[in-house]
Amino acid sequence: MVNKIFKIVTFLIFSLVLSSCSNYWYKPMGWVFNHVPKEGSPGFKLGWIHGCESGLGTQFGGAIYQSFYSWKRDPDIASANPDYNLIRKRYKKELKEVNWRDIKDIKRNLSDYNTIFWGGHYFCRQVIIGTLHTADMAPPVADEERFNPMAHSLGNIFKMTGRGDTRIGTGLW
Amino acid sequence: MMKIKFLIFTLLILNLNSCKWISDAGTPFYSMTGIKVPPGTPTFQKGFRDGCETVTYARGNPLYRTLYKGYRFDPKMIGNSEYRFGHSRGVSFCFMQVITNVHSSADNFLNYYDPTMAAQDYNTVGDGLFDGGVFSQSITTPGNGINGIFDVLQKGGGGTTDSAFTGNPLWAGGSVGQFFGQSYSGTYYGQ
Repeated sequence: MVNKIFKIVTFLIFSLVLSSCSNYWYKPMGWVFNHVPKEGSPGFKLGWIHGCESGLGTQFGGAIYQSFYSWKRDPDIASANPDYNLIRKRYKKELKEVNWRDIKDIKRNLSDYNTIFWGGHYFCRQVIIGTLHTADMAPPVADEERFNPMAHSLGNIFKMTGRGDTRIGTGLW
Repeated sequence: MMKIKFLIFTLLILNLNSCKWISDAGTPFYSMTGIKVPPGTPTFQKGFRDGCETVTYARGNPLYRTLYKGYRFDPKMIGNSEYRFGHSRGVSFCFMQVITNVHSSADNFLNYYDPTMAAQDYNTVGDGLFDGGVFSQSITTPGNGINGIFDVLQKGGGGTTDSAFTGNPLWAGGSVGQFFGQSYSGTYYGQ
């Protein structure tokens, strides 16, 4: 009986967790990629995701997140004279909806990529530092101090005493 | 008697007219915050709201993350400079709002001088100036307590020894030609 309940609970938890899956479900903060605007062009979505990855890989996220994410902007798309064939082959899956026979559509997608890249970058780096603040973690500015692994752990996000402490009388929400 | 009543009534009406909630009645506010959406075209205002929601979610605490949906940017408006202008204005304005102490919880008066939004033990943060604050420390110890408040004037800032009144801030450091207080380097002078 206990075994059965255990199985059901496990199944429910897995179902709930998987229902919010993004492409990066296996990385910390993978859920943030679900914020990519769904109505965007393929170039828009790719640019946002690359921006987000780059944002999470900044010092805003500290050493832990920097080990999972890094700078991701595609120099070929950012190029003033992009090689369309190269880009098409590189992003077969992500940019498959682009009409590669229509130069206007290609340019629009690449322009969207470059425009929204910084939007995604900004959002995700603010989300990560906002999340860390809820657990009283503030990644040090480079060269400010030595990284203190004791003060930074993924488990800290479950701490009650961070900025998100909603208990009455503990201060600010 | 009637005249006095009429006078009082008129005065009350005039007073109430300038009540904030009446004068602000037509102002569009960003929902659940005290943030005003500035006047502008609907496109600009839409951009402002989207930008505001984006950053309120990103830097806000879990309460705001439940109130707001998250990243907001209308991909169809990506070529609209007015929308993007509003979006960037919304982001920058609301960023300052959300990281400071403007719209916080109803119990924020309990924590009256901590602008960091870091929840702490009330018994620690509520000590004020006297119990553990600067007034509780020695008045005469240099660099400490209330004395330390005047360090900037006395010493020109932390780490320096000259007073702003006795040392020349431009040529601070001595008479060997340092500029802006840069330290004397023996190697540089060939010694």
